[in-house]
Amino acid sequence: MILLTDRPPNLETPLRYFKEDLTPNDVFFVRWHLSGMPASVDENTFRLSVSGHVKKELSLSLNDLKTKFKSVSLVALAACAGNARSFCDPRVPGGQWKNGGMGNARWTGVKLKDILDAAGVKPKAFDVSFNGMDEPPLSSVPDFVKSLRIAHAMDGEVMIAYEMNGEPLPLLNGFPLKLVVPSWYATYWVGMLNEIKVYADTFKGYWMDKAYLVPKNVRNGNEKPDSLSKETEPINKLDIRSIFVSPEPDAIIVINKKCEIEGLAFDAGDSIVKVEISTDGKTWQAAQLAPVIGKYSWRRWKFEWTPRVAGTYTLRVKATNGIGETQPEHHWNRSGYMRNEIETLELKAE
Amino acid sequence: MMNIKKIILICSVLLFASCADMQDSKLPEDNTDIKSLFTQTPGEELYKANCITCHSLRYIQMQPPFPRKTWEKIVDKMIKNFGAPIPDSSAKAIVDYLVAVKGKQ
Repeated sequence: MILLTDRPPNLETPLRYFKEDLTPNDVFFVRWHLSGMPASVDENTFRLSVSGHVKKELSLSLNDLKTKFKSVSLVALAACAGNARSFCDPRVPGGQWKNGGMGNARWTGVKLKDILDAAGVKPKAFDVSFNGMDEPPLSSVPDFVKSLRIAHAMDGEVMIAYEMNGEPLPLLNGFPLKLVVPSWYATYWVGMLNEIKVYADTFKGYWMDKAYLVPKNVRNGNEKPDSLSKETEPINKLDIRSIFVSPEPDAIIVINKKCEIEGLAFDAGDSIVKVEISTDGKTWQAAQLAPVIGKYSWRRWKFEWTPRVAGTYTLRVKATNGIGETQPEHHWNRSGYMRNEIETLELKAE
Repeated sequence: MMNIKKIILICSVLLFASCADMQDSKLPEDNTDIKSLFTQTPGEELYKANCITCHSLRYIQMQPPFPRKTWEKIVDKMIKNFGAPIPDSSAKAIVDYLVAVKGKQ
């Protein structure tokens, strides 16, 4: 893996692993905010608590989750809010991810709705917060806690996963439990989840109020360095994006020989219906889409291309979804979130 | 690969700041040699004293060069938003250090 930082640990998946439908657990990207994280979790004594604005507080063991609730499974893409930040121009501070701050996995666990129903959410519940076992290294540092509106938490799709690709979650990916919020950025996918609280009013916390904010009501969260948006809102749904996976940047290809270009496209669940490639900077040709894996999964694509003349080529890729959304020519915001600018790939043909 | 994850975890827990020998060949281009961050200036000592409680030097190593104004904002954010207990006098020297190792006009 590509080591971004060691403490707290942040690791990126090398592009070559994106040639598979599901990203292997051993190379799945890792993102932690706080260095006070446990080196092990005892699955026998671990408990998930559900408290706050509920009729009955719960303290659930892993065995409770696996035996007392219906198991569900779905494939979903987890994409870091700051994925591809290192490509921003001008550059912005933060984790300098290339495209490997994401991964596609089959998540198995229980519906958050079923857990909340077991606790009995009281009338007029408004927010639900999610906290993991990772802790601030100093008491002055804000704990990493995220929240969702009650209607979202109860939508039957948000899930508490205890398995990733058919195995227990790796510790660095949030063992033993991870919140899975399909089509929302992975900042909400709280790992080592052990505390759920229901609130009758708005949840207040640094990681919702001051961090992970994007320009409000602006498509793709786009803004300009010299005219920043005045209003911001918590980041939420994935925007539409496509990337090249192979060949890798600066690869040398052979003229008059078929070159297979492949990549990925994804959005917030409105289905990728078209991926187009440009090899000349002017015209677009449709790529071949692989079968749909699932509503919240990425979708693979392939494009066969035979360069006839030696030289340097700049390929471009853009995706379109079922509600007509496509990608912008340029994308930037102050935090480097939601990057989905039309990607380019430089290749040399010899 | 599992081994790498395990090693990283051990590093993180044991507070090892230097894991340079585990670098993948595909590190981001800004991932400068960690030795260039060892300046033996007062700012570096203050950085070590104040910043690595929460995060390792790799947080700096990973960043591209930024202007002084950006580094000032980052240090200010660490103090005001992330609760870093850094006195003003040290903050200035830390910014000097950051500009020295990752500065840009």
